[in-house]
Amino acid sequence: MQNKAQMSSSFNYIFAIIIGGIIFMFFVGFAYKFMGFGESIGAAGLVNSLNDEFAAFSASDSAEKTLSFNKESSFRVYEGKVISNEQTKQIDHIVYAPYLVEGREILISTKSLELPYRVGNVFYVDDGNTLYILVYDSNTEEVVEELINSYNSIPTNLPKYSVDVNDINVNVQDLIGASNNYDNVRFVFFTKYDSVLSTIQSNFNAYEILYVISSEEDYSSGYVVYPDSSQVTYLSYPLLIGAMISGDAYMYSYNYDLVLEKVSRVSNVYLEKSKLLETKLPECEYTLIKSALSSYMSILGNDGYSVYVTNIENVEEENQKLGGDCPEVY
Amino acid sequence: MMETMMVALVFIIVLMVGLGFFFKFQLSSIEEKADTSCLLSNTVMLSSITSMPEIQCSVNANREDCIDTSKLLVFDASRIYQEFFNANCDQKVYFVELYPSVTNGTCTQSTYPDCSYYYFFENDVDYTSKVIISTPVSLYYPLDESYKFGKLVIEVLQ
Repeated sequence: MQNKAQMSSSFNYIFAIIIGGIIFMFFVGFAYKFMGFGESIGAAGLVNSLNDEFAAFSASDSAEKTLSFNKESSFRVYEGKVISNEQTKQIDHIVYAPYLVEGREILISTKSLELPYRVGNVFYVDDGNTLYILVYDSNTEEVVEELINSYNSIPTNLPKYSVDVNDINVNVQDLIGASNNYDNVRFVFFTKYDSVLSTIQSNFNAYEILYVISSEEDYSSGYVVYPDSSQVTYLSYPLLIGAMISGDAYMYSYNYDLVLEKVSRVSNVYLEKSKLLETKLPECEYTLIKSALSSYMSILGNDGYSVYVTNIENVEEENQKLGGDCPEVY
Repeated sequence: MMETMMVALVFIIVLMVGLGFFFKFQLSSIEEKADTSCLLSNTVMLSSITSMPEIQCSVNANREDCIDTSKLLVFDASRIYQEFFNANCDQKVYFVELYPSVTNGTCTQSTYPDCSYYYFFENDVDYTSKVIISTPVSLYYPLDESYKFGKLVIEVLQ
């Protein structure tokens, strides 16, 4: 009888341990899932707030803002999506960003893109961990000055520094001092860099070199060569800045295709508008602007930049011929 | 033995009911947040729509703060911007000429410019209620280079 009571008591303890264990595991699992759920909500909030910032910024020709977070945030802007903690949101904006954006402060800026009419805004997202060093020679000094200090300039909230190529070998300590607070350095050469390559290699650990080539005097369009030798085309300063910031040639090219898509879409609106104006105002001649717009639309996707320059000038010229009783198309 | 099992059973039932309530409140809180986020996004959208290059005025190659009505006629946002508008919630977007409005008709290429309603984006969805937000806009008519007073309306469908 006593044995039976002892067995029953032991069985109760074992039973309580098993049930207690199950309940404990349940709570641990629940807490773990809930933490993950909380992180997903936070990531979704980050992605949504970024998207709203882009939408609000798109009304401006040029704007800058620093977003502060109460904790370290990290996300990627890749193939038209903002990706954070497995939360992904498609964004209908052209956003140039490094491979990974991380930190408590995120720098957002925008520029209006005109080719030759406004086709939209391009956005730049950066974490301020990379210093962009623009290197010029006597021929490109004005171009770099324009990029640093004018209305077309690189957003002021992006860390940047400009230096004459001849000063790199002589005053490399100044350059090292300027880049001390940054994790990475990205050199953007508007001149040949063979003569300073060894100095850079021996003094910088985390660096990348981008090389800008253009036959245009003001470098308003041209090519950018990435460290892996990939060459991409840019058609205005906002796109050149985009190429400087982009993580790699692929990330830039994805956005470049979106730009061309936008150009095509807006050009088509102007083409259709000129047809409408022609119908409503039969006394006006819109044949030439229609032809210029059609020609411009047909070359979208070409690799070279000079064909774009020619077509943009042609559209501008034909639009300027209109006016008075025959309204301009744009 | 029986008592222990009964206690465990009651505990589990109480736990389940508690969790049920917790999740219900959590879900309604998330739904509320989603509605607020949707309304906020649409309010932001009011300003971003008016600056879309596809419909914004450009006079003498300069950007102006008005809507080009001729562009509204030739641009089909329902085809191009499906994902942009449906990102957070469903909505209907249109422009209305308020003054000096001549007729109430919908604008098409044949009725233009003697019309008032320019439908920009429409969603064919079922909804139980709607929140209407709007902002005044200047409507530009390139045919006679005149400006009229209008508004951009977003109907947020819920």
